[in-house]
Amino acid sequence: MRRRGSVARERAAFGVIRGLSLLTIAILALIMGFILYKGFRFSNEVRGTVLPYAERSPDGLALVVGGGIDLDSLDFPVLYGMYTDEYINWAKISADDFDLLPIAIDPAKPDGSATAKLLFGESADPQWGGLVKTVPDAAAALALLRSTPGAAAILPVDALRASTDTKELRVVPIRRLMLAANEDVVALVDNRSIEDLDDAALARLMGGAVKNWKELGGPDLTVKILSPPAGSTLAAAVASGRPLSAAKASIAPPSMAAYETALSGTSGAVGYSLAADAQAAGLAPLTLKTVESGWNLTWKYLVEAPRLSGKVGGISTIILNTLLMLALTILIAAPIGVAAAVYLIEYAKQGPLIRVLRLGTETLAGIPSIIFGLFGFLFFVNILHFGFGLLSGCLTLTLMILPTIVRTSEEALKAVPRSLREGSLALGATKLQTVLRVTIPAAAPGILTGLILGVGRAVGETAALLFTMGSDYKLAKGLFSSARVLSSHVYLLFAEGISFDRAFSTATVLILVVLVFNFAARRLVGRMGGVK
Amino acid sequence: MKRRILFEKGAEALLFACALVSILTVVFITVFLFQRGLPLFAKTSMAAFLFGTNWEPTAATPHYGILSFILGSVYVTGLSLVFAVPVGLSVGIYLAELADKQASRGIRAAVEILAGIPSVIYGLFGIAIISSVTRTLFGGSGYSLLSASIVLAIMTLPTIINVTEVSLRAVPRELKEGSLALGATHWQTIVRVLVPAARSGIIAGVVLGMGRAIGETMAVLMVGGNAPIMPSGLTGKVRTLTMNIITDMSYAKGDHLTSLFATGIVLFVFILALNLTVQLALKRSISGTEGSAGA
Repeated sequence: MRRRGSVARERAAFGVIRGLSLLTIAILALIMGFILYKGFRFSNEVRGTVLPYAERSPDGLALVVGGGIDLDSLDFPVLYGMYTDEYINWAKISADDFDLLPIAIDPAKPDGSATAKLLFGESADPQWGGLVKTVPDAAAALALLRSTPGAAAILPVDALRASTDTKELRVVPIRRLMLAANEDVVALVDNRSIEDLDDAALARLMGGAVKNWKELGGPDLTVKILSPPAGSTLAAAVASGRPLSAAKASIAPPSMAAYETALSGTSGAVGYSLAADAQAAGLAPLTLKTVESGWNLTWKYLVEAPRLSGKVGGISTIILNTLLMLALTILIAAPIGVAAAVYLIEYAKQGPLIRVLRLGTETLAGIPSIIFGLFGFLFFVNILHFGFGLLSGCLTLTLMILPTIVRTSEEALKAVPRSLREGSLALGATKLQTVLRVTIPAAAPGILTGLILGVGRAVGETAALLFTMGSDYKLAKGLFSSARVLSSHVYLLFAEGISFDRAFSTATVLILVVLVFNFAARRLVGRMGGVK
Repeated sequence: MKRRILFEKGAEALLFACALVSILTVVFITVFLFQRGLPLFAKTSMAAFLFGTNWEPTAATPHYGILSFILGSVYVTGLSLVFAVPVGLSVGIYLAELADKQASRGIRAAVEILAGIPSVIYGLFGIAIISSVTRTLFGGSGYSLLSASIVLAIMTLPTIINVTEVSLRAVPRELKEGSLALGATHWQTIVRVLVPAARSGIIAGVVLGMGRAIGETMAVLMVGGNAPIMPSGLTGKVRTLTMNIITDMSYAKGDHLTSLFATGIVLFVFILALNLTVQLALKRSISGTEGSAGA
């Protein structure tokens, strides 16, 4: 009986051990899968007030930008920001590196007043930004658009159609429909307020499936859907946004003024509204949440140079800097490391000297990278006056990876059979000739493995590089120019709060590079005949 | 002939010079670190530095107390070992004693890749997954001692696994066979014979992992919260010695910079002590190849 119990216990213990072993694989899979997934795809929950349906000019106006601006559609709040000095550069809007020049037709003209209405609704006091350039007519706006790379203009579609040369220009649909509700709906009642609506909730609400705001976490009020008056710009906009479910209206005011009054005055009322009108009329917008997703790591990201601290552009120069760094590091580290191993194995006599040398390598291997960083900063950057740059960084890295190279090369040299050396010596070769022509070639795969392992460590290093190599993301011009590499780019994108998505994309590139080195090292080890 | 001998001698001298680089670097690091760090103690007493909890290097009357960072490092490292040692030991035992060829090949590959993942990537992973998991489960900001320890545990796992496996494999066969012949089960043999016999090797592995953990910078920097205060519990923010150096390096000047080098000295002394322990433990356990086990 006891025996059986102990057998069961042992089984359980083995099970736990096996489970924990599989856990390591699971952890690895989780890390790799997560980083690769986030690196290739981004998917972020975005909260906003405009509905995700872009529309083309229901009121006969269109946003036109130069062909150099990479923009498919635009949310109204951004457009509003463009004309009220919130943005001065395209970087935050479309990731293009142009200064922004918003153009509007003089509000005194009929076309101009329509523009003002699009932006500011019926507001009596439009807040035009100081950057906005007013022009007398559409022709002048078009001329300015063609001559200025960062220009954007709100123009009548007719004028655009009449123009003969619109090839270089791009019409950008604007998202400006939102759901406005009566203030009672969004009010905080008993510490509860209406939840942010996702696509499904939105469809249910406007399809008439939601009877009471309680169902969406809001106050106990009956839902009353308003339908926009026929013939209004709003109705045209709603109609052009095809994906919208047809609103089951319970109230249909005859005019826009009545519509807005009904929206703000009826408890529980909800209806579509153009962002500018809602803003002017002081209607409360419902918050919507949508999931934005797309490709994160694109070809463009790999081949473009970074701009604006990496906020814009790609990582091409950073990849090149990384390769430069690796080449330079291996150029310095390989001869020293292999020579040190040759000395330890082929020349040194057993004794206190060799013990001290080995102790040096072992100790160096245990020193953390931050200490190497401190030392590199002191010695290479300040005392030798190399400054923050490629050379200081690579020398620091060399010291870091030296133990790996020395130890692996030592193992490889040790594995070369004595008979080879003795044969060479017996043929009259000198010791140096034997080492160079016989021993090192025979140990080459092992030595190469050590080099690859060292480089693999160097490519992921960050702490030692931040204060030796600098962080300039331009292509390094020489040994003394500051250079940013993949690993420091990942860290800085995160630490400077630039972009989490971009940090993941760069991390993916970094992890792929590391995997390639890892794989190469394993293949080499495999070729050496299963030595672990 | 004479020229050739001279040439051979010259080459040997050059090789010797290369072999000296490692030990010279260690000496240089020690000398420069102490030379730049020690002047701090002319300004503030060593006791105030080591046991002060007030880190205000840029205040009008600056205080350089790093006790909270020393404790931060100790707590984070200790807690990470609490997670990593049981798992690492189990996996080491599994690889050395239980796994068939295929399973051990898969696990070994996984361990190798885990060892090669750069620390910034662990940091990113820590922010995105571990921080949010600990935030949901235990509250707080998620950037905490606990998150940092979990990330570190994953990072030190490969070291512990490798050294455990190597040490277990180095136990003479006769011991195992003797135990089995006496009627002990496989489990009893592992627990009563193999693990005790490999004890000092395993301890060396754990200490090696401890060295890795205490010196790790980027990953803990990204998930630890980095608040220069006494660590206030598992979900509180923590700053370690390494984080203190790298955070302030970017703008430190004068005495402040000196104090960072002094922080470096403390870290360096910790690491040297751990390294010496490893070397001693390994020397006692097995001779031969174990030196490269942690690589």
